[in-house]
Formats: sequence, C-alpha cells, structure tokens
Amino acid sequence: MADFDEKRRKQLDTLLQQVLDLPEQEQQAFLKEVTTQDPGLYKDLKKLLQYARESDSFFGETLSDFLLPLLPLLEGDESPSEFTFEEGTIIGNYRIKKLIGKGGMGQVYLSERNDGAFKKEVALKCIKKGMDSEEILRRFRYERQVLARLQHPNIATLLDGGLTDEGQPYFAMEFVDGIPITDYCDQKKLAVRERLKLFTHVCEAVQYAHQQLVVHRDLKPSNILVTKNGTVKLLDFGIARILDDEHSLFTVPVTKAGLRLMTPEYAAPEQVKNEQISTATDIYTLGVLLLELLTGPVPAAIWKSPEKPSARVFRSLNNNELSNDSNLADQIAVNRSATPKKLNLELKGDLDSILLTALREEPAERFKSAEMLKDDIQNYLNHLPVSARKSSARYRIKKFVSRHKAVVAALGAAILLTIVFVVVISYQLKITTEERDRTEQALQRAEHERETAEEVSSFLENLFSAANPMAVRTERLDTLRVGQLLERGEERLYSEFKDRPEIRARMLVVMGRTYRSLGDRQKSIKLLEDAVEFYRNQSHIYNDDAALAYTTLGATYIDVGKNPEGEKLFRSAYNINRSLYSDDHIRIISSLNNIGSALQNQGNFEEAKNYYTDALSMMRRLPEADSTLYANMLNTNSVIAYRLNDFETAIELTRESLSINQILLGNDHPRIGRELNNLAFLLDRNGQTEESIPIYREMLAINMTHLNEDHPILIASVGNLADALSRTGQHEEAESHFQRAFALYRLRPENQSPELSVMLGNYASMLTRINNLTAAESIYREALQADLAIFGETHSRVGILKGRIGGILCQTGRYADGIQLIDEAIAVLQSHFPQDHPRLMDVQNASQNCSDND
Amino acid sequence: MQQTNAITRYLSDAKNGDGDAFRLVYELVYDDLKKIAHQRLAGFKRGETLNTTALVHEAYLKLIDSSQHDWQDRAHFFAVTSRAMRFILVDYLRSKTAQKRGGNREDEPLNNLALAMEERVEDFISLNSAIEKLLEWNERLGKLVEYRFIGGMTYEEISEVTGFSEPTLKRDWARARVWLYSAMKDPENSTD
Repeated sequence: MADFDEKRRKQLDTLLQQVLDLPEQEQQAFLKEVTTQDPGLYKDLKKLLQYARESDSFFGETLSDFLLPLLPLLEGDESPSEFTFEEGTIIGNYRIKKLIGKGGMGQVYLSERNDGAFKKEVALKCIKKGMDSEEILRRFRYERQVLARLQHPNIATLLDGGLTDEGQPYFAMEFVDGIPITDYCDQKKLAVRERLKLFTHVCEAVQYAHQQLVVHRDLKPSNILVTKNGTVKLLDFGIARILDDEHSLFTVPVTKAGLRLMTPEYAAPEQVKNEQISTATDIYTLGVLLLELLTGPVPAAIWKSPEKPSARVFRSLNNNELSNDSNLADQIAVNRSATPKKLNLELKGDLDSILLTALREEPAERFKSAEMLKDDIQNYLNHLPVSARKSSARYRIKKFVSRHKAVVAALGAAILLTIVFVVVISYQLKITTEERDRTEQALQRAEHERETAEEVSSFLENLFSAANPMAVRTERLDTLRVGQLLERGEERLYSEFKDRPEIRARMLVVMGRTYRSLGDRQKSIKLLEDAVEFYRNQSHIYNDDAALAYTTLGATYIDVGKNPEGEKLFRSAYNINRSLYSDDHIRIISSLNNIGSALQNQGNFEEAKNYYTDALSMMRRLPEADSTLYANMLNTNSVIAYRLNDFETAIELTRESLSINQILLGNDHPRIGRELNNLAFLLDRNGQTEESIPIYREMLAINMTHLNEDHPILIASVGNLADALSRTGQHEEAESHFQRAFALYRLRPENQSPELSVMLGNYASMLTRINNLTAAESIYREALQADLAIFGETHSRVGILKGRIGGILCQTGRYADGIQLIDEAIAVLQSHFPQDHPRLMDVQNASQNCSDND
Repeated sequence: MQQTNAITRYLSDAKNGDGDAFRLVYELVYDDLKKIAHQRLAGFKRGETLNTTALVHEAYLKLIDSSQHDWQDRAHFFAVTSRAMRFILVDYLRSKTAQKRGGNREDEPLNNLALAMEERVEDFISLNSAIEKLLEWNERLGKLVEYRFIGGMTYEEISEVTGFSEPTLKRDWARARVWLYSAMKDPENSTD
C-alpha cells in the first residue's frame, strides 16, 4: 500500500470497485478505457487485479486455510519414523505376508486369513505408525466408509475391518493381483480398439461410483489395475470424496505450502485451482488416462495447451526427425500394434473430439457423465456417429477466438479483400409486431389523433417491411415505386408529423432501415441521423426505439467505413438495452456482438474477440437459441477467424452458418448470397481458388435476382469473382467482370466506398500481374485516395497501398519517390503488425531492394 | 458472574452504537480469551484444524450466559473478540518461533518442513501488520478482515454488526483482500 500515496490509493480503490464488478474478460477493456491518459495508473491497476487473483489462493477463506501448514510447528515434534509390520504379525483375523504399497498415511500389506477358514489373500490397509492424528484417523475411517458403499465387479471390494491390538483401525480389501492398465496394454501390445474396450470398463466403474455419490479424485494407472484374465479393478479411494454430505467438510484444503494430494499429470484444472470438485473432475482424469492409453505418457496440465490428440502423435513423429529420440513415436505405435501414421489417422476425427470433450478446462463443457463418455466410445467402436463431434463445432466457436491470442491478421497474397459481414439488426424484424404493440400503447396514451397515428404507423411499417429484401423473400423490388413511396413518406414526415416527433423519429428509423436495405446509404444515414438526434435530445427516452435507431445508424456507418462512429452508437444502444433488459437478453447479446463487429473492423481483434466471447456464452445460456442471431454470430466469428488467419475454422463456421440459413431461409435468399460469397472468398484465400469460382458464380446468380444492380453487395460480388478469376490466370474474363463492377458503381450516388477501393486494389493487383504497371499505379492511387478519405492516414490499408505503389515506383526506376512511399508505408504498418509479420517484412524487403538499386 | 453481567451490559450498549462500550467489552474479554486460546493452542494435535471460530465460540459460552442472548448479541461479541484473537495469535506464534529458534542446536539445521513453517509464521505476522495498515487506511475494510478472517464470522453476522448489506460486504471483502495482499507484498512490510 505504501507504493501509492493517499490520493492514488483512493483513486485506485474506486476503480477497483468498478472493475471487480465486471466479468473478468471485460476488465482489460475497461482498464484500457479509463486509463488511456495515464499509463502509470494502468500499470498499478493491473497489478492490483493480479493481486486480486493471487490473494484468492493465498489467503483461502478462513484463517484455518491460511494456517493449516503451521500445525506441526504448533505441536512441535519431528516427522514420524517409518514403521512396518514384520511378516507373520497377526492383525485381527489376518496374518501379514509383506508390504505391497504405501501412501501418505497408510500402508498396504498382502495378508491372508489367519483362522484357516479359507485360504484367501487380501490387501490389508493400516495407518502408518505415528500418523494417527485425528484428521488422519478420520480420513481413514472415511475411506472405509466410501469403500463400503461400493460393490462393483470393477472396484476392489471391502471385505472386513477392525482394530489392531493398539486400537488402530485397519481394513481388508480384495487383493488384486494385477498391473497398471497402461503397462498391461503395452505388454499385450493392445491396438487402439482393444484399449478402448478396456477403457469402457474403467468408465463403468467410475460411473457406478458416481451413482453412489463418490468421486474418486485420484484416478491414475497405478490405481487402475488389470488382472491376468483381463478384468479392470479400481483401487485406492484414499482421497475420494462423498458428494453432498456432511463429510465433504473433511476434504483437505490445498494450500500455498503445497499439501497437494493428487497426482499432477492427472489433476483436473479445478483441482489445481482449488475450485469445486465434482464428478466432472473424474471425467477429466478419465480423459487424461484415455489420452495416455492412446498416445503415451502425458505431461501435467495439458488443458493449458489443448491440442488434438492425433496432432500429438503427429508432432512426436515430426520431432523424431530432429531429435535423437527417434524411436519414441515408433515405440508408442508399436505398443499399439500400429505405425505412427496409422495411429494418427485412427485418432483423427472422432477420437480427437471425444478426448477434447473429456479434457475441457471448464467442468460443465465435459461429458456430463462417465456413462456418456463410455457411450461415445461405444459409438465409435460400433461405427456410429459420435456425440462429442457435434458439440465440438459449437464449442470451437466459443474457443477458437481465445486460442489465437496475439496473432494479427496477415492479409493473404492479394492485398485487399471483400468479405461481407452482417451487422446484427435482422432480429428486430422478427419482433416487429411486439414492438409495434408497445409503441401503439404509448401512442394511445397520447390521446389526440390516436387513430391517425396507428394508421400511419402500420401502413408505413407494412410497406417498408415488404420493401426490405432481407426481411421477406421477394422478387427483386421495383425500386422506382418504392423510392417514390419513400420520398412521399419522407415529405409527409417532415410536414404532417412535425408536432409529433416521437412518431416521426420512429418512422425515420423504419425508412432509414429500408434505404439501407436497398443500398442507398447516404439517404439512410441522413434519415437515421435525424432520428438519432431526436433521441439524443430526449434524454428521458430510454427505450427500444432509441436503441434501434442507434443500432441501425451504427450499422450504416459501418457500411461506409465510419467504424469508430458506428462503435459509439452500438455502445449507446448497448447501454440502453442494458438498462431495459436483464443480462442475457437477446438484445444485449446482439449489442455486444455489434460492438465486437465494429471493433473488429477497426482492426482491434483482441477486444472484438472479448465481445464475441461474451455474446456467444450468453447465447448458449439462453433456453432457446435464436437461430438467426446464432447464424449471424457464426458469421462474425468466421470473419474474425479469417482475420486471425485461421482459414480452416473460418470456412467451417461459414459452412455452418450457411447451412443454418439454408434451413431457415431456403436456397434462394439474399442472405444465402452473402454466405456463399464469404465461403468462396475464404476458400479462395485458403488457396482453394479453383473451388471458389463456381461458388462465386452461384452467389452472383442469387444476388442478381434479389438485389438491384447498383446494390453495393451485388457489385462487390462481381468484383470478388473477377479477382478470383484473375488469380487463376483467367485475365480476360476477370477484366470484363472488373469493368462491369466499375460501371455499376458509377450508377451509385457516392463515388467512394470501402468496397470500391477494395475492388480497385484487386484490379490494380491484376494489372501488376500482367505487367501493366502504369495502369496499376494509377488505379492503386485512386484506391489510396479513397481509403485516405474514408479511413484516414493511419489505417493499415493505407499502409499497404502505399507499399504497393512504392514498389511499382521502384520497379519503374523512380527510386527516391518509391523509397519515400515505402517508408511511409512502414511507419503505418508498424503500428498494426508485429515486427516479424510477413506483411511488414514484405514492405521492408521492397524498401531494401529499392535502396540497393538507388 | 459480576464480570459476565458487565460484558452483557456493555455488549448491549455496543449493539446500540456506543463505541466506548465496545472498547470496554474488549478489555473485559481479552484476558479470558487469551487463557482459553493458549490452552487450546498448546494442546494441539497433529492433523487437527486450527479453528479460531471455535475458540471464540468457546469464550462466548464461558463468558456470556447464552441462554439470555440471541444471535445478534453473539455477532457483536464475535466482532469484539476477533480483534483480541488476532493479537493473541500473533503473540503466541511469535513466542513459539522464538522458542523453536532458541531450542535449535547449532549443528542441527532446520529441515525443509520446519523452514516452510517458519515462513508461514512470517506470513502470519506480516498478515497481521497488513491488517494494521489496512485499519489505518480504511477502517471499514480492516475490520471486515478481522471479522471474517480471524473471527470466522458469517456475512449475516457482520451485517448485523456493521449494518452493511451482504452484497456490499462481499464486494468489500474482495477489495479488502486485494489491499491486504498488496500490503503484504509491499517490501516495506516484510521488515515489520
């Protein structure tokens, strides 16, 4: 505390209170926001948050937690000496033969009945001499009690128990003459399928224990033996725990001093973090065991770096070529009667999914029971579909974003891109009726002219909803007619509804939205800005209408590249929604998703990802997922995956959202056009350009039936097809499509747009490829002018374009100018990409080449 | 019994917001609490849990006629005794480590276990001075640490004593722990 003066401490404490109320993933963003002016404050706050996390495990909840390791000191004697019983010692009805095992507190002896009743060998468990503290006695009795509950062919049975002559408790268990399951499998060189069969017996035993409310907590090969005849036996419930009864108090807390009782390799994350233990803890450990059975020994805490098990085998295979340890992968494979390649193939897919599901960091994400794990393995063995597979696609969406922490996007080989992402406002169309009802109630309260108001309201709404090509599947609209209607409506709004600003604002939003759908962004912005201004001046109006106005204008700003402005509006909408709805309401979710999109568009992937993660996790908690919204979220997430260079995931997500939308909307719908565009684009960037071209063509066909020919999305799709064609060497057809796209663009009211400059950039790339450098340069410059106007000096696109132009200048002998542009490009790109990023290095190489020639 | 009556009376004054009464109860219980605590601490067996709450509870049963009192009184009593408990523990642990050190022969180095224990005593002593600092800076948070951490009081009981709602107390607890931990991490503190 002395680090800070009084004032600073107060300041930090206030911020701390605010930040501790936020979910952890938002804390970072909040910190950044409040401390932009003061990096020192940021540092201090971060440190305090770190303390907040550490203090948890440091203090525990009570003084007892904190001081537990002190107890021996309070008692004040040295550690107890190791004592073992001699052979032949009689304990109860048993005669000791030999020591076969010892743990922290107990010893296990092979023994036999002493009374000659029958000659049966048993395992006798006693407490170590000197370890008879109350706590240990309690735990010992507890284990006995646990075992007494369990009668299962795959669990070593409790036979008997009693007290030694010294009054120490002991108990006798079935003696299992077996070896650890992993050794058994290796010795017998069991193949994957045989190992899986054996493993299902382990699952059965664990499932049985769970049904008796017993969590084992220490499953590991040395506690899972296999006898000569191949029977699996679970042993050692020494740190097991009975759920939900008074004994749960007896579990030993994990303390800073490290009184950890479990085995680190097999410990579930919640055990390491000292969090709630449940049956899911055993599921995780079963996952580790299975992984070991299939791929060999496993390092501790594998949940920290989730990796596909098949990849694990593959990696050790590759490592072999580099290291001397050349026979490790071979040995692992040989033990499974396979080759490393074959093993890798066998694990890929279903088994990967099963393992990853069992090994999830969050307990709730794992298999719900050992039985489900067993069933899935059974499914695999019977060649049936595996349930883990289905859940993992969905899971990945949630997870993949966080996997790619600091990766910044590399923008593929061709410099620029068009990918259409959808700002989530479509859900509002679904609840229009509800909204209208609410508005009408409000209007009824304003008694005068009530009827007129209703009439106008529903008339316009019906009209405009029909005019929205995204809302209703219709033939292409007669734009002229709609345009006239809109214009007439606009006039009336400004004259007749002058005195009723609430209705007018609402109508402005409906009209603005319609203009946006029709592709007239300028008109749309004009009307929406008007509406937003109204709501802004009415500080007391904190309702759905205002939120909708902010969202729609935000989305339209984003269309034209005004991303920060869009973000601001999305945030206002978010705040309104937060004040109107509970945390997991669909509107809150879509607000979060929208903010994420805006951030993403500004290149702020890290933050965007946080918003997406929140939105998705809320979405998953909703009892009924809104499929449209879900598809939209898949869409935004695929865009971010793409930005993070994870094409495989992006493609998979797009395919998923495409198939959802095909079910919801049919094949012939403008949304399908967008999805196809994205899919084609991603395939293209993933090097599957040939494959992408037919998809582009299909997309174009759909868009042409639904969109006006000057609709920016239609034009962008022509441009994308052209670009793909050009990069597969089909320059002539590409040229004609480019020209068509530019011609269509000239029909539009604005002469600059983000999509247009993308197309210009792509066209210039083609010209560079066919060595028409003069034309390429001038087109690049046109794109640069547009991007400068839209995005400003510091946007990454500006840097990239400057680099390109600089390159051409150098190639054509204008070194000084070239170098200057390249230097400018480097300055811009350095703030966007890490030093070793290919995008930046390209430009730096260009600079080098240019200087060499100078 | 006279003393018991006095405690009872002061306690009800304290409940009604009399700060002096609080101090008086403290003075009255301190010696008895110390006696009880030392008896219990000295008789510790390996493996037993150090349960300060039980200590305080024992003191409560001995010093107060609980049949005449409700849980609110107990809460106030706990609040008073948690501070006393802290002082008693610190003194006790300090003297214990001193004995250990003194009794250690030169040629017999401390084993690792003993070192870890020593470290933990240091931890507790530095925890103690961190609580002092916190009390000095923000009494409300400091007291909360005493109530919750040392006295083992429930939020409900603390709410009775302080008047703050349980959600507020939970938030305060989060803050208190951060500052407490930060005070312990503070290098100036370690020489304490």
